[in-house]
Amino acid sequence: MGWLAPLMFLWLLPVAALIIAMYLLKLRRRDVVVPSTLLWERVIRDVQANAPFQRLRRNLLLILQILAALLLVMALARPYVRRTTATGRSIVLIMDTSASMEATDVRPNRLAQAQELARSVIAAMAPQDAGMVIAAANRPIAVTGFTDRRSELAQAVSQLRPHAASCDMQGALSLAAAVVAPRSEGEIHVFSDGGFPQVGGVNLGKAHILFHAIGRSSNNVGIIAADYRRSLARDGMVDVLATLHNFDSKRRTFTMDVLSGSTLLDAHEVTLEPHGERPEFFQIPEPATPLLLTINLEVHDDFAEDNRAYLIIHPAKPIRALLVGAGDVFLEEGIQADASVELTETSLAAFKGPANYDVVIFDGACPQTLPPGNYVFVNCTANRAPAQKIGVAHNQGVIVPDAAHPVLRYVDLTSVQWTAMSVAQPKTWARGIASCAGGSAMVVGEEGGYRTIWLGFNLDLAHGPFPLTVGYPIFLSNLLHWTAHADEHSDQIQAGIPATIRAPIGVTQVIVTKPDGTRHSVPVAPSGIAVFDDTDEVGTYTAQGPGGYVFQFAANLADYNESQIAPRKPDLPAPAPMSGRHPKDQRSGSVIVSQELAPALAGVLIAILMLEWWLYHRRIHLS
Amino acid sequence: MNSTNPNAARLPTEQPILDAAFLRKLEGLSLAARKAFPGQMKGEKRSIHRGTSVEFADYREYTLGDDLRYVDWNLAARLEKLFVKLFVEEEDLYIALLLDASASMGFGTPSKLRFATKVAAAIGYIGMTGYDRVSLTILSNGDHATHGKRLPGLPPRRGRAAVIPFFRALNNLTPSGAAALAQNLRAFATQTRQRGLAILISDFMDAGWKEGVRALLARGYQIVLVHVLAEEEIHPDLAGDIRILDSETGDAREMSVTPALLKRYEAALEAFCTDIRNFARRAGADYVRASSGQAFEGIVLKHLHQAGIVT
Repeated sequence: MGWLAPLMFLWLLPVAALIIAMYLLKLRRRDVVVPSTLLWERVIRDVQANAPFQRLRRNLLLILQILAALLLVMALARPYVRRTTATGRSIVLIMDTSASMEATDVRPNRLAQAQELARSVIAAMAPQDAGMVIAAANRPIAVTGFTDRRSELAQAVSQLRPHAASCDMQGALSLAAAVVAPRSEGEIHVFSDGGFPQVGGVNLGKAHILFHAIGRSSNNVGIIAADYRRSLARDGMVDVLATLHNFDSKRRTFTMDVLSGSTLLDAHEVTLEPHGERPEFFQIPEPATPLLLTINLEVHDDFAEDNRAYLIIHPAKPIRALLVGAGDVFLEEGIQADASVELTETSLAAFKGPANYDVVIFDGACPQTLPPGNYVFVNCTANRAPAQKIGVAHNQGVIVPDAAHPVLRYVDLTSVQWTAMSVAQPKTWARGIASCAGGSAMVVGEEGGYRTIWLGFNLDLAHGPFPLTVGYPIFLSNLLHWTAHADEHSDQIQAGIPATIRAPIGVTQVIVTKPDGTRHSVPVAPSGIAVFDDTDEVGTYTAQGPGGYVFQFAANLADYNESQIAPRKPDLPAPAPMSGRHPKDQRSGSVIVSQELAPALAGVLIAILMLEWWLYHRRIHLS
Repeated sequence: MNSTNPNAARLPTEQPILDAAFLRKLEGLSLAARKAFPGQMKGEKRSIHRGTSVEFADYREYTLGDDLRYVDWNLAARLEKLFVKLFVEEEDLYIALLLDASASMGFGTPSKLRFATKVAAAIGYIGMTGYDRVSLTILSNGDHATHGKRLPGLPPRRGRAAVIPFFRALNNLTPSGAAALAQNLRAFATQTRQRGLAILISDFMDAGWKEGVRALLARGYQIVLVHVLAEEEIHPDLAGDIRILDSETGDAREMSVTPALLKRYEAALEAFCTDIRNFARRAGADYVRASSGQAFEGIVLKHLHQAGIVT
């Protein structure tokens, strides 16, 4: 037996002390003058003589009251026992609480219908069945443990609310499979509209999945993508892109509004063919202050969550780079080819530290000890370097196992050869993204919110022809953007995805105001990074900190799977064949459930109070 | 003033003890004792003395000086010896009314004391008008007995002239103090030289009543115990958690009254009455139990008559 709230036992002492204190106080009695107490005394003597346990009976009331207090405190401490029921199913209810469950094609919405269906499944559970509830939004959450209390399950289901986020059904099924696999007769009930990516690789054991399809309509037009970028064609302009999609089988014509704050910038009619998609593109001048753009579709459909998108466009901020080295003209020119980089050069001797720079590049040599910061180590190592040099290779090219890394985007290193390059072993918190014989030639790492890159090859012409290739300035640009975190669109996230807030160094906490006006305090790491994960609401979020720090970001649904509200029958994993598991792995025919004893204790408590009341009125003892 | 009308003796605010109609009923009654007691004056009751009544009592041998009119000549002829006939003397009867006027007698509706005074008045009236000597002794506390003083009350009186002060004394009684039956009855027995009929009217709510009655028995009294109870004693109207206070001693007892407790009390009261009755039977005394709520006339005319006290 265990206790859910053992601290409640602290109440026992004061309650018992109070009862005893009340017993010590004499009962105030009404005075009645009688002719004589002669006969009454005789009665008293008779009662005392005939009932030797009278004194005990008087104390019995005290004992009963203390026992009642003990039971009350025990009930408040919420005792429970784990017991094994002989038979019964183990039922897991996975409730899709993603954004698409807010669709109103069924009244009042899909989640409400799913809840009703789930409650009917709970009501049909046998007494020996045990169940649990898992909410599946952007991450799975076990709302209850396994219990045979149907009221608890029904209450948990009723309290679920939808989230403006995608559905991680893969994670939810994995969680369900993990808890139901050791049990016999496992059943996993999925209540969803099927709006989630393909699920695979989940070992369900012998558990069966029952899919309860929710929804009946595909009547939806939504914004499935919204973003902006600095215009490459026109300086001082920002390109804004919104992708609209018609998920319905009918042609839809509607108006799209673009607002800057409360000012209407553009409104035009859009026509989408059945299942058609159309990008909407327009330019706005580079704002001097953060600008809130709202894209609104004036359309009546069954899913309103994707009819509006928000963009917060911050003014362009240059990357402040410090080049520490002897001075390599190719490297300097290559860096300055990117107009968004403000380059400062200095010598190793004159290097004071990384303060006031977004990234520091050490060309060929660096101090052995460095403070935390964003660094690029070109053929040199220090304590902050992500790799440990282990040797030198000659006349080597590199192979790129991770070409998708942002540093290697649009760059082909495999066609270049260096006369000599260092090889290194990545530190535990880093990984190599290019290698040669003997070890890694390029290692990237992220520690404490700071990014570092180690390059085994030099970026000058003396060690290889890389500076003469087209990819050289692109590689340098990628290098600096990634290291300085400039590639992150932290002002634009998908709802449900944690937002990264970069606060000034020294700020320990920021206050984030959600679209609904609620405020949350978020701690900031020493590196200035704060992560806010309660972003399951579409709209704009504002982070504020000391010293007038303000940072705004927007969260949009922008999820094709969620906007695709047409009910789908997903391809869910099947149970493993019986021969796949050894019978001894299964506790056949039994489940362990937690049962609270508080209701039983309350019943005993009431019985004791009634007994005490009866004894009180029956007592004939005279004190 | 009509001396036969005791109402004339009452004060303006007093209630008459006995009404005229009831007094007329008492006129033809008299008090009787089962055995003869020596009287002090000529009366209508048989005395242990030999006297001049017409009722033959005994013979004795003639001695010089005897009146020859009382010689039984028939017997002298047969036995040739002179015998004188003796006749029963008829004298008055001494009736001692012992009235408990303690505080406990103040309870009841009407009060037990009021009821007791009416019974005493009726008995006293019968005795006085029947040329018996009637005394009244008030038992209200033990101070007199403790200090060797005479107990309060009225000395023995007879005749109609004594009725008015007797009634007045009864009418002025107020309940107070403790009965102290043991001390008071013992003091009465030692202070009174006469013997006769002792009528004790009390609620007997005193632990020493047996000792007191034994003192009377030791003096040779014929005893009548009139036990007066109030309705609230027979059926107490008590409930809940209370503290009872003894009206005489002030002693307090705490208790929680329940139906079961009341049943036990009623059983204890019945046992108490039975104890008094059995004691009286063993002592050759008469016992009459009465409730202050019932008609006192019935006690006098019925119960005392059945006991042979009132004839």
